[in-house]
Amino acid sequence: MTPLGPAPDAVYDQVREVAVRTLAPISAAGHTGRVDRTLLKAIADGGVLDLLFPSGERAQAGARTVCAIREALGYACPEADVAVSMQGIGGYPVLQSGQSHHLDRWLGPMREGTAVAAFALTEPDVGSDAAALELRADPDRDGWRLTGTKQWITNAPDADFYITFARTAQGARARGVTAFLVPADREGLTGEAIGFVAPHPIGRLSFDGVHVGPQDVLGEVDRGFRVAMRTFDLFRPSVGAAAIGMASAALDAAVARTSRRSAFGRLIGANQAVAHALADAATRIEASRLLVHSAAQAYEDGDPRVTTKAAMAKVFATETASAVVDAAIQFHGASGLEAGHLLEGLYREVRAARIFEGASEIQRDLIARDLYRDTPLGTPPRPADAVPPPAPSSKENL
Amino acid sequence: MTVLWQPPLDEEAKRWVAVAEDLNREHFVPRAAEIDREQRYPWENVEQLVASGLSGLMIPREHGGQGASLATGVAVMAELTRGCASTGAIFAIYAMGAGSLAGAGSDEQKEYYLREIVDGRAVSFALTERGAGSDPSAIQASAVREGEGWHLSGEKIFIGNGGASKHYIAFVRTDPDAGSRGITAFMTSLDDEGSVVDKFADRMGLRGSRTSNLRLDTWVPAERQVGELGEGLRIALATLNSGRVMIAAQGIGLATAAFEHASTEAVRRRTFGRAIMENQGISFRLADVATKLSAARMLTWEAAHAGPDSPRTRAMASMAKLYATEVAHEAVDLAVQVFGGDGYCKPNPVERIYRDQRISEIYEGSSEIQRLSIARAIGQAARDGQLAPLEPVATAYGHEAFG
Repeated sequence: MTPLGPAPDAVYDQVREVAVRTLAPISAAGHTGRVDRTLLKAIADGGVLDLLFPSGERAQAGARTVCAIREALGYACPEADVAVSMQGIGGYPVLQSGQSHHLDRWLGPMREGTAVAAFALTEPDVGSDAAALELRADPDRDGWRLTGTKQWITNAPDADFYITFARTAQGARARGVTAFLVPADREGLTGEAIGFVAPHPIGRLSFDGVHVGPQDVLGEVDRGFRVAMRTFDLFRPSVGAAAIGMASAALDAAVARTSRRSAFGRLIGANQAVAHALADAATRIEASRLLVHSAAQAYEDGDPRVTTKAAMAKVFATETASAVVDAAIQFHGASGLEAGHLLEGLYREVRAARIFEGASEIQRDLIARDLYRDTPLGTPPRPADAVPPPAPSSKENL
Repeated sequence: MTVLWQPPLDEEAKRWVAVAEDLNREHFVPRAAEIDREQRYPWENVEQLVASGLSGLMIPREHGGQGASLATGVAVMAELTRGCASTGAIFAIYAMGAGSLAGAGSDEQKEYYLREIVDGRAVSFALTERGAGSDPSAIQASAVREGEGWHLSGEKIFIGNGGASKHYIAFVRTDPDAGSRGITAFMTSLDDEGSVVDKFADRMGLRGSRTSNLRLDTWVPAERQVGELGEGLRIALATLNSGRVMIAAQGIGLATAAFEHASTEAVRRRTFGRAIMENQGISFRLADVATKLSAARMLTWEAAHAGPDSPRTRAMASMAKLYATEVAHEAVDLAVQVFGGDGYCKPNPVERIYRDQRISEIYEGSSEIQRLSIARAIGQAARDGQLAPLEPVATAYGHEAFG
């Protein structure tokens, strides 16, 4: 364990126990890069999806609970973290913004791990600037026909439904996008898996005149971004939590390795170059954890700074995780790069976290925008801000 | 120092570096602490720069100088700075003032001003204003025609060697509507009525050198104009390259001094029963500085040989300046850490070097401006196809990932 580690937390302990005992072996047995329904069923049987979808009328998990789940899974079974987080990001638009028939149809199977959710926002030419999305929704009869492509969609093409964002008003950017729940068996919807640096189930979807009607709309027409934002606000802090889990796993592996292995007559951990680097890693992980908790708390308190805090948590935690995994590999030597090694997997797994759900650059944009919110560029100085001119010194040394 | 990469100096450079080493040992190093403490301009050091020939090191022989190359100038700059950064900064002013006149001055101007420089009467750059620092196109000081000459007015600030230099090449606006093409260079001197230096900055570092304003309310004859009308910024930019390479050399001199102090102290000072060099927390940082400092020396050496101004040499000079001054930052910071509390207290030379270093990342184009200039060069090269990769790019869906 790291010096401080996660605060005592029943959710974390329960999920980590399930992940170590049942999920990690399933994940290790076969990474296909496709949705692993056996794994999802085991996640449900372990009670993890009951934590994510608590019982009660549209009851939601708390942001801190989501963070505890994801840190535990990031630590012990990153593939399960992907599955659970996508069940959440694909499922919460239904839970938060769905019509009652959506809930009746999908909530039970999602909680039981028999229905796989997915969230289809990204397009070939639309990534970080999601408001520019182009998937067409052409009016047709009592609804629309969806035409276009979504890609880098986690769980595609194996999911059972796709929360699909389409353009219903031209030129309106974010205020012309509608969210639809599109079942996977809808005519005209096809997809294919793609290879990825880590074994994520991820793919592309082609919409060839897929018909959707008012009964498929989540939230309001042209207000699909609200649907997305409600879900993102809850889940954004947890991206950092999953990264912390991965970083902690790498740190623990590095500590174990360097405490046992010798070179030049002494243990590797006796080198300050090693021990100090791990000390820095532990410090950054603990700082990440504090940022993540602060962001989750801000969500639960309804604090308007949640977006900025979550951005800080995400960029700091994911960049920390990349650096820690990299350092851990360095101290393992070549064995850490053997196929199937924990660190080799984490090295590939952790890279995507700095890109998806808002690249690091986007997080910095969000933080910077908040910094300048009350002081827009070009604001004249207040008298108190004015820097006095340097005091003239004497001429005597001329 | 055998650990650090050494430039392959030719005979001329070796001779001049030896001159600088002698001056350092005999004069500049012994005075360095005192001129810093008193913020005193070392006129006696200037006399020695003149007597040794270093004041006109890169000035052509026909104008009384030594005709040395930029590479020699860089090696001398690094060596002088290693001994006394303030004196190195003064030497740089002599070199850079000469450079702009040698490039853009008329024959008469060269004959007069270059000999002035050789004789110890320096020419300073008067470019920056309160509202025009990294972006000189915002210059407000102006010149209007008056009789057979020009009336200059306005105020310049952050003038290196200001007050100590006799002459100034002032960049002022001659066309209010022409933006960066409306600026012209004029020579003025402290002998001109209305060219006045009356404010000196009280500085953190390089306290033996001098920084001042220059207030202009003066008339100069038409022959004081340098270069063509409206060509002032081009003249200023033409000397940027050699100026940046000289400041890269300053960074190397500072980093070398700091590295030498830190290494020597790390093997001398003992804690917990052993030399602190036995801690990898110290020795590996010294190893990193030695590696980066060697790389910075190579970059600077390459930039000093890159030849006349061109997009390629501009990027080289920016890379050298950016990297050498940031390595210097790391080196002086480490030196203070190695000395512990002592490194923070006068009269430890490391305390002085720590302060002397900081400006090198700001003047002659801040690190941000260097990155801007390198980034522009990259964009230009990529658009011109000079950076075309060997392997064609295939993407997951056949879309045009790179636009």
